[in-house]
Amino acid sequence: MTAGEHGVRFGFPAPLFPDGVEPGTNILVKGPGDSGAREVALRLTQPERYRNEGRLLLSTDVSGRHLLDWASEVGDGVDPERVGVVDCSGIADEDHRFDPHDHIEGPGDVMAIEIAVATLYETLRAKGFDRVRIGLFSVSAMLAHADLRTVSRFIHMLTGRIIATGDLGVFYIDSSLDGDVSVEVIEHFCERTVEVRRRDDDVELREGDVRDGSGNWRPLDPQAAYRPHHRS
Amino acid sequence: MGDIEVLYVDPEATAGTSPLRELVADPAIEVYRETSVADAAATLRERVVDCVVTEYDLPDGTGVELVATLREVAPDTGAILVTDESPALIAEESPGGPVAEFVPKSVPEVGARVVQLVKHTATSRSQTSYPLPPDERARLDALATINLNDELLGRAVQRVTELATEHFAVPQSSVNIITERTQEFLASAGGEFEPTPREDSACTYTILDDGVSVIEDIAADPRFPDVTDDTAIRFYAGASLTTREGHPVGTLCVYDDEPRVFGEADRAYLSLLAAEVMDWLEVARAPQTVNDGESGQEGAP
Repeated sequence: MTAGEHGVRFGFPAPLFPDGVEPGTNILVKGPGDSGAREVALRLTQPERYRNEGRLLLSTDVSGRHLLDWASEVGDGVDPERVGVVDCSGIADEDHRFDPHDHIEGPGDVMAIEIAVATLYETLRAKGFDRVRIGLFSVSAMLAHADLRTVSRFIHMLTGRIIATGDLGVFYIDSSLDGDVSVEVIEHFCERTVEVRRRDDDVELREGDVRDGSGNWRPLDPQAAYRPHHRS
Repeated sequence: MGDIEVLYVDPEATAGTSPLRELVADPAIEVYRETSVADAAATLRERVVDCVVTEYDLPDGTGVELVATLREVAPDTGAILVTDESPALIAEESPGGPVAEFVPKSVPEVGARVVQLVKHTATSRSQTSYPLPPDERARLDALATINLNDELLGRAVQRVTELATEHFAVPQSSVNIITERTQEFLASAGGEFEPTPREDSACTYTILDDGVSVIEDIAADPRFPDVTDDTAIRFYAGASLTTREGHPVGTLCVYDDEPRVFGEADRAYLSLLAAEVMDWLEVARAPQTVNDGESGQEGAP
């Protein structure tokens, strides 16, 4: 990746965003729950090995450990030295919940979530990472626990923070759970989109830009080691 | 004086402590100071600021309580909590708190981080609960060039709202102007409307796209949680009023007290009326060569 106005562009595993994206970009990944959209979003949050990047994941619809398990099965997996998780699930399961976040009541507890995100972000930066890939899994769980206006303000604030600090934001939304209006509102806060769908056994995606609209559907590269994953 | 106005609330801050030191030192930022929830709330009722930066522990309450007040009096203003209080304590004392930025006071770069977030929050207004048009700043600049007090303009758009109510057989219609924080009513037929916060306005979303936006049943729309089956306005259709440079400055809207459908012909006619309103708004932007009422002459549209 070449350096742009705001620094070196974020790069991704093929075939996602071949030209990368500018620092300070927010990407909405949307698709039905069984489409593979979550896995695509997880791949977008994977740090490039040769870059000094951290990874901050927010788990809202599954426990933090569960999300890490999923992330470890996608692409290059999880580098424990680079990753931090904010467990926003509110799941009362000591085996799967990260203790530091047990004060977060659940996916609708936006203030507590923001405090945890900001604290962990500063921890990652203090460890020396130049920039952070932040992924929210999923916006849908937040919308199930808080009204659209509250979630919109939270997403607007988080995407704004990512723009200000030159990081990367990835927001996964299950488009089969949320109405078109909600998806459209959240989409307005993101500069780029990835739509994911399943055609028979094949996963297809198309990327979009708020200015240029959506591109054409194309298959997710079979060489990308995509593996469909279902909640257990 | 800085362009960005910040209310800083911390009873123990001194000129030499971060992040106050960095905020004051930045030439783009003007800092006002308060030391309690009550005094800060009073200031917020009198003055519109771009961002509030507050400590959590205040003499008469908490920074979270202050942010909750802020959301009532100025919902679009940004808020940043800067504190060393533990997240667990804040969650215990202030469960279900409002959306606000957070920066731990103990991080070495707290001053730089707060300045960074203040600037972005203020200039991009990134704590609104609704999306902004991508050209928001240019849009507001374009709006500022229109003489909204022009009498001819007022009479013309009033007639358009009356034509709209008659044509669509609806009880109400209005021409709305979307300012930085509010929806104002330039003209209305079927009733008077009070200015509303932008987050409560359907037109806030209409100006995000070209053309006509229709909400067949507002009570079923998650963007407007306060609207119920008993609310007077249930149907909304609005057409953007877009300047020749492409900046949406307002809307022409029709409302009904019950859900209804709005077909293509309806959309086309509403767009036609909106174009008429926009032509008058453009006229009101032009230099006023003849506008002296005492001369008995009026500027032609």
